[in-house]
Amino acid sequence: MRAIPGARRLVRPVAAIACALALIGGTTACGSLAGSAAGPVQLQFLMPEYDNNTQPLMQQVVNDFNAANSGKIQVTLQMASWQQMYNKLTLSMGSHSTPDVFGYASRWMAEFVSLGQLAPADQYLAQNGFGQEFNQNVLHSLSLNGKTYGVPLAVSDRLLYYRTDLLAKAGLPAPTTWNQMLTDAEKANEKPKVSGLGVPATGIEVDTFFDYFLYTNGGSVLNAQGKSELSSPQSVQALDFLTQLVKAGGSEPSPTGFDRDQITEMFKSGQLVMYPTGPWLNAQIKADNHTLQYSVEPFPTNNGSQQQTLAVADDLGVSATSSNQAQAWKFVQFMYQPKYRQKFDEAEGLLPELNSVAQSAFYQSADYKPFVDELSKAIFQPQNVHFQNIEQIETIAIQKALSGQMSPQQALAQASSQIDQL
Amino acid sequence: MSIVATKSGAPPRTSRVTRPSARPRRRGRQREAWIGLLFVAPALLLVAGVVFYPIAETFLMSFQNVNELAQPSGWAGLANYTALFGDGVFVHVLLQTLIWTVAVVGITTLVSIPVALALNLRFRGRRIARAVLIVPWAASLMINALIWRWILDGQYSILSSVLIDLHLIHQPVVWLGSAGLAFTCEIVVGILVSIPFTSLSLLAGLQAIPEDVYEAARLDGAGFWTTQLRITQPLLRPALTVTTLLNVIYVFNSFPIVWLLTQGAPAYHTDIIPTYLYTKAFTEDQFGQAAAMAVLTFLILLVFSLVYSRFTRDRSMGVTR
Repeated sequence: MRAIPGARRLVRPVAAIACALALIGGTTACGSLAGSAAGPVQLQFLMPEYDNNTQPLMQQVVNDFNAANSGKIQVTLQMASWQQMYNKLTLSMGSHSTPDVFGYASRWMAEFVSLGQLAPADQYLAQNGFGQEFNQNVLHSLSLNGKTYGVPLAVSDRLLYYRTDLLAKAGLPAPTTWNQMLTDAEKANEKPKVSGLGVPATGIEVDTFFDYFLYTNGGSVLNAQGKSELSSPQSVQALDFLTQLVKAGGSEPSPTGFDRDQITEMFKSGQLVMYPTGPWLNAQIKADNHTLQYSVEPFPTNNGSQQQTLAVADDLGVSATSSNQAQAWKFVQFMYQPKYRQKFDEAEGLLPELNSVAQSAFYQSADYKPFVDELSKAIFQPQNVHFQNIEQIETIAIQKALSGQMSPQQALAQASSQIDQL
Repeated sequence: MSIVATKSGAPPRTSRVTRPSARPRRRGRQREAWIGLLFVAPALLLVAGVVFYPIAETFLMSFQNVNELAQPSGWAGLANYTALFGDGVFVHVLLQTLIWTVAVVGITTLVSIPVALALNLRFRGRRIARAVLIVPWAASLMINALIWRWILDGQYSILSSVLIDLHLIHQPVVWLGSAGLAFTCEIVVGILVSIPFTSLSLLAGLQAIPEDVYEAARLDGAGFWTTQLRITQPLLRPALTVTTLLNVIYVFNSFPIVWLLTQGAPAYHTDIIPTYLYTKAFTEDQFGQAAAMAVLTFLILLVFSLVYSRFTRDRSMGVTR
């Protein structure tokens, strides 16, 4: 400071100018964020990512729509992984910046509806028979309290994949009952290289895996009043069976160390005899291990119980807080033209939600027809405001039983009381 | 401020050139203070907005009813705190966190002292050895955790395959399958990633010890162990104190390792407080309880820091007096 004569006299004016510039810069930035009034209607579209194909496919739809509506409506596509999706949506809702159109998991639907975040679709589904183009069983899964809150985005139902070569080698039939499945798992495995039934007990969809057993034993997660049915005899029996199967060595060792992706990978590379999952495994096996000899069939039942296939759906909704709902629905209807949906469902290994796509040659082929046929009578998971939380509680109970911390009955009783307190 | 001691009564003799007059200096100092504040203000505002405001919000949130979208609505008193202790999981997780912290910090320190001593010796390739030690620290904790996630994978573990080749085991071990083994593996990973920082800090502490002390000890006929116990360790205590305190705070709050390896599964048995807090907030949508947990964590670490500082300050002052 001392070295430059007169420098001290300059400091105050310089500081004043710097502060003034910062202030002006700040207000201009804030001003520009407020947005321009004129120009085409801007729509934000948040799409969850299924795999590498999702982004290019969706971008194509968006580009085509923007071209067909240039000057009037402009859609911007944003992608997010499924893991981030829930947080992204809830945070954007909390900060009043929800995307106009967004994909969401159906288990979040009740929660979003209760928070007033989803716009009902009924009036748009009634236009030009748009609603009739869908598989009615699937469309019905989006209705809550008499209103429909969107359209199906990605549907899958779950069948049992099994190795025809390994079962033939062991002289065993394909399982149609639980007892047969247990025998097949114990006898057809070639430990340590090949295990019996793939059991993913960590990560996502642990509860969905257990639900395969629960539903085919005539049980359910919640009753009509929304109270837990997890401590019912059917439920305890189902978890008992699964625990016994694991104890008897019918699954891969230490199931709590494997998640869904790892188990899928294991079946694909030939290290499992059986694994229940969705239709995408077909495409993955064709791509990575096409010589694998396998087949699919509906999940075995427990001696006389009714066969119930489980289906899971992801949905597409319009934000109830959007100021451009009519334009948003116009985009949705554009996106649901059969040509775009055929491409999307095929590439992602999902099932067709549109009837016309279901009749295509691709979906009537041997790989997909069993899945498509089950779709019209499949059961979807229940709608409940706390379902995200209920799944976590169910998962914890299953992990406790499978890792031997508690008996299935105790674990499910505890889970039931926690669910009822929500 | 007096430049030259003078006889009483006479004004101080100073050089006219170097001493500016008194009155403008006092006003100048005030002006400088205001200008300084003006320059610091933007940074202060940023820190207040990004650091202090969220902390205050979290503190308030722990006493409010919060919905799934993290929107507070009304005061809940101590309801969040009682709910937290209600299901017994929090106490278990707290215990697991204490085991995790004590094991990682304790063993890291025990291992780092010989490493620091070794690196303090003069030997060929010492520079390379020090550089090699820094590498795991340079890669972020996330990357380290991800690498270990695959080293410990149930199917494709390179560790399992090495052990199989050495005929020590016959089939792959599912390292992260059972709670006990998984938690032990997480502690080992925690130790391995903490060693670089601790060793280098202790090395710095060792290098601050003057050579003459050792020479004097040698002249007095002190052997290796006597030198270690009577001279090195006491003089290393300040460095040890600082690294232990920092390590306890870092390790207690460490998220990536446990999250990437097991996410706290199965059934919360490998959870520590940061991962349980994340699950509570973002999977179970209980933001109020998660905020309560954050406040409790802050208080625990604050109390620990105060008690630890008081305890070690007295000890170190005793050494130098």
